[in-house]
Amino acid sequence: MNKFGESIVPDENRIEQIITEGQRYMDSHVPQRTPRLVLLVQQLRYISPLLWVTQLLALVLLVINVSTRAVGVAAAREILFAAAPLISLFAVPELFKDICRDMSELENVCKNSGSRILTMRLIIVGGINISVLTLLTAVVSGSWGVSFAALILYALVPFNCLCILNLLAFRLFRIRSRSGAAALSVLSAAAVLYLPAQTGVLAKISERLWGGIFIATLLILIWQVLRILRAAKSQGVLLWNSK
Amino acid sequence: MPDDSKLIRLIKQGDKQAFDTLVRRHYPNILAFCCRRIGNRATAEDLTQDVFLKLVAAIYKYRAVGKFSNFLFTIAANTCNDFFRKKTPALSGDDIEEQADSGGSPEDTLIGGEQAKQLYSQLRALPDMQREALILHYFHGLKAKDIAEIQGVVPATAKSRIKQGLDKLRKAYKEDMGL
Repeated sequence: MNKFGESIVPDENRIEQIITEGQRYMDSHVPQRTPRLVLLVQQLRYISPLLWVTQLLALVLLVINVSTRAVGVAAAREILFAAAPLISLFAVPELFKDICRDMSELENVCKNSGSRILTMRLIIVGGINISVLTLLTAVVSGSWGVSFAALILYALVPFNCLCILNLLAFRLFRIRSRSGAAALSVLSAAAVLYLPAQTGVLAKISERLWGGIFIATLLILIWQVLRILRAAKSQGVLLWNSK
Repeated sequence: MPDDSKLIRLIKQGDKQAFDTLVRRHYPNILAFCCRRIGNRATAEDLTQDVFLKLVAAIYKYRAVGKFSNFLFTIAANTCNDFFRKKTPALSGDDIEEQADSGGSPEDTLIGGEQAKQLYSQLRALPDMQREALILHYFHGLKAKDIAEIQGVVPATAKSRIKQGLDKLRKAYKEDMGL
């Protein structure tokens, strides 16, 4: 009965028919979730070789630098500061490769939801980048006897900055092509490297301030990632269209 | 009686009884909406069946954002719009008017006689979105915020559709009455 006092009497047979057909559909469509580990391994297989190449390149460049440059804290910081953008160069393009290759619509209607796949990619790409950054810092720290804690911030801050810049730019410019994604990522990396190189900011900023910058950039990065995941969870809403 | 979100959780787990309860709870409201939107009981029943079958297909990916009834009304509104888009010549506007005359329309039971026919034909003359907004607001008691969610617009647009629809109805009614 609605507020006008009108009632439309439903036909019980039609209700029964709907229930029977709906229940038959339920029988034939038992949802099966892919276990997280299986999905992780599946996604790992599709990680772009470019991402692996940049990790390897960063490692090689670091080894060359460590063996040729004079020992010193400032040199160690400079090397790590330069290595971090190279490591994370293709991180964000890798996350959004489905959009860049016009595959997002297809991915969103597949068995595993778009947000689940994005989460897996985040874990994989983030895991690779952080592991390699830690490895590089450990190599420099071990080779030159510089404190690990004093060095890691100089790798993590540019890493966070590049990811934030890329995420912002990707959404702002609604990048949808592979070349556009790569160009934007290279530009962002150049921007992250250019400023400290020109201003000598590495030497000017104290370790405590680096700590503060790290926390601030980390919080911004987490906020950005959560926004993207939230947007991906809204069914049918393309990441680029979400507010 | 379990609430909608609990029923949906149970359906996702494969509980058929939960689907039974959910259909029985929402069927009258969706049927009434389709009847008002289409103007033909038999077609409305077919469309209501489509709505619930679409629901069971979509429910596994449904996330509880907002009211469940809004989600269901969105499916119903889209199903009705699809019907109008694909409408066969056999069910033209004239046929619907005739069906209203012959007492098939729910509005006949609402007001009865000439007034119902007039209101019904005036309502049918409104643009789709205004008609839908008016039906949802006045017959189903939905707020502008909910209508906005169903129609995928901002609340201000939904309010404006209700107001414009109502103004047009008033104007048409006055003209018919010779006022």
